[in-house]
Amino acid sequence: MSAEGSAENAALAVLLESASKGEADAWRTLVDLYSRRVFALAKSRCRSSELAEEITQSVFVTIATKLSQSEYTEKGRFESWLFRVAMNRIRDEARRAKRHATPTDPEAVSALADRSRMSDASGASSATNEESVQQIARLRLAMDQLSDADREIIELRHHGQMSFQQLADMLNEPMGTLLARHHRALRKLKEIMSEAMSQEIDRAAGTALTPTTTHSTVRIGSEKQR
Amino acid sequence: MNKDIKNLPADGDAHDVSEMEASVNRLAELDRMAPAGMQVRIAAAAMLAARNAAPVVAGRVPAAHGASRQGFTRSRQWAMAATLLIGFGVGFSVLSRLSQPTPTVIDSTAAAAALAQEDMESWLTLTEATDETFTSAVKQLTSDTSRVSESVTSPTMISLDGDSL
Repeated sequence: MSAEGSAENAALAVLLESASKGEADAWRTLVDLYSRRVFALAKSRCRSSELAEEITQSVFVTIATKLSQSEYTEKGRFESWLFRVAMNRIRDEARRAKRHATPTDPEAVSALADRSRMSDASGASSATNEESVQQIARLRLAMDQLSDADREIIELRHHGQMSFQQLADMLNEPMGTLLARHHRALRKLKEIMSEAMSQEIDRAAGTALTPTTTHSTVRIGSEKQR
Repeated sequence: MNKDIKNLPADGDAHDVSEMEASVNRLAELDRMAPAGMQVRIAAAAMLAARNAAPVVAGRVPAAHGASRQGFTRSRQWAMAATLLIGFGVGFSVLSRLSQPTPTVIDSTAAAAALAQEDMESWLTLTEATDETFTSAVKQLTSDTSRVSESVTSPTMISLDGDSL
């Protein structure tokens, strides 16, 4: 381990020691460092900001309880431990809410719309932003179609911003396996998106070629197919 | 070399997914946009949980959650308070009983018999009392014959003051 890494670990150990005693500053720092990453993981799965915040809070409360009762034994692997706790909590929630899953994400669209407004102010075209919104929505739908293992590695890597070494520690698998799995998952995602795009193009082409009088009939038919 | 490394994509494949990786990163960035005030709320909740879960007394108590541990501590405090209260009650009762003088009583049946026989010595030996209180009680008994005769037929205990108990 590098000297810089050792210093970081030592600083984190001090921080965790203070946090285990319930010191406010230590918790502010820990939450500032990790909460948005945990939140993003939860948000990616449950699609609701409120629920994601609730999950994030319960993860940190669990961490606080375990730290205070000296149940944190994986010294030097705090992030792996934190995200393992988070993934367990998210899986529990996903199992509970599976029957009520919502395929759309209005919050993300509105958040992106806010960003679009900012981009508009800086001169970007609204057509491009609209395309981005659709692209994000398509990407979310494609993520839903991935297997749990593939989705997990994508989310931990990109939403949780974990390194492959941390992933290997957390999932207890060789780093090479995880690198290969990550690549396969991205390729699968790309295939799903390409397929969805071509279906959309076909639908659009079908709609454009259909005479106006039968337009509504075709659309109803295509929706039924979906 | 690890056999998994051999399964890694070639450079051309990596280029294929780099665009997809960038899209996923944009999505992740969007998802990291937390609601206002979230971090403060979470930090406060975690801090309280850490404080509640910290050991309060010697001897660890296994508890899965801070709240349950807090509940346990609270119920134990109640139990300690109740024990102390009962202890004080019992102690006070015993002390007050000990501090009360035990009334000297005269067996009125024997006293009446002794009186009937005008046997004053027997009167005195009945209780071994020689103080003034006793003497006055005897005087009262002696002067009140009706009371004495009643006590013969219906035995009662009489205190030094001459009152029936």
